[in-house]
Amino acid sequence: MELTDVDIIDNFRATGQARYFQSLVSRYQHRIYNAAFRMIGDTQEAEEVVQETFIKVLQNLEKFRNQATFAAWMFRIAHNICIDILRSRQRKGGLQMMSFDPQSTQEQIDQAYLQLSQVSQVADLEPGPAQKIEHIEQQEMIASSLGQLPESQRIVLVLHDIEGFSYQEIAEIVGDNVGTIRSRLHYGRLKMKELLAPYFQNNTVAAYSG
Amino acid sequence: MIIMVDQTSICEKFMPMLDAFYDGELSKEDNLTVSAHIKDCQNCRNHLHEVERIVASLKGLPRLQMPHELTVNWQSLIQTSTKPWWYLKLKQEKSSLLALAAAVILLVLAGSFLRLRSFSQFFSIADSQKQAAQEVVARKGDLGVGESNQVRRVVDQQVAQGKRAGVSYPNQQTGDGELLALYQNESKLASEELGIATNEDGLYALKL
Repeated sequence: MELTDVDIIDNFRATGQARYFQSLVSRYQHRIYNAAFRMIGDTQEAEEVVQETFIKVLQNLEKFRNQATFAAWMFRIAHNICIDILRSRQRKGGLQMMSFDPQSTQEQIDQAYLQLSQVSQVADLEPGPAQKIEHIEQQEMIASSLGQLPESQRIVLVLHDIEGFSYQEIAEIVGDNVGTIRSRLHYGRLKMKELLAPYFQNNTVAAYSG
Repeated sequence: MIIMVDQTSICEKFMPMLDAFYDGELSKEDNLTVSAHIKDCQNCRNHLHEVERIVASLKGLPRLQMPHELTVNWQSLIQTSTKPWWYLKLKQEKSSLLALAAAVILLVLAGSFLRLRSFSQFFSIADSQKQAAQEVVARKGDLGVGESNQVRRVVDQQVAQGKRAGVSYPNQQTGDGELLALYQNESKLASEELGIATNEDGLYALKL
């Protein structure tokens, strides 16, 4: 049976063995990286967020008292680091244009076009290259729209719709009340609807797992 | 009379609640109210559909993986940047720590109380000795005539009261001997009253 976060933390506190902490890192590093990237739009800085988050978690683990879930407590630390990065960017020279698309999308599209030219038009259960291109473009559009949202709305959408935290947990992570979180989520989604409207009019966002 | 209800204003009231309704974050009461409204409101149903589409599109974004593993040496960081594991464990067991602190405070308070008590007894004994010494000096004529006579009268009264109460005073024939006997007797009675015993060297032993 897999140990819970609290079990791992208890074991770490009891023994001081690094392997317990390492298991927390393995469990959460990709999740924090994903959320940090969606919030700040830069892969290198997202990696720095992950590293700094775990160092701070280690230094402050004694302060964690199970008052929130461990994930929410850790995301609060990660969120604060992301906010510092965003503030630092604003001080340095205004808003930067971030792609909010981590993978070299153009490369993927080229690859899909290559497949399209090679594959015969045979009915297949697997999504064909044309669908793949459409899907990649769709994801690029959604990621780009998310990146255009105001920072506070973007963060709440990432934490709720991508990371699956509850309103209460998000309130603890960002340090606001639940009413504010609800409002930001509502207006963030309205803005997303507005940004994606031209795309939605021509396409349907299909559930796609390719 | 026909009352015109502005459907748009009703929807505006419900619109901010629809996201929380979709997310299952409304109270039971609000949930029922919104459910009843959307049953008859195409506009709000459309909005719910849009919310569903936005959420699905965000959930559909690829989950990114860290391109590089973290290269932090956690073992050395644990040794340098955290408190020892036994400290963390002790801190985790908050109740034991509180009990320990309470016990220490109680011990310190009890110690202070006992020290204060022995000090006050010491000073009361010192006062009675000082008074007796003054009387001896007065008896020997070192005090002024008036003061000496006054002390003498007090001592005589006390001797008389003691005799009436059946207290015997050895060496009471001689003046100085009588006074010393009175002093010794009174000092002994006072010490016994306080629970202090003296040995022949004049050292005090305190009964607790």
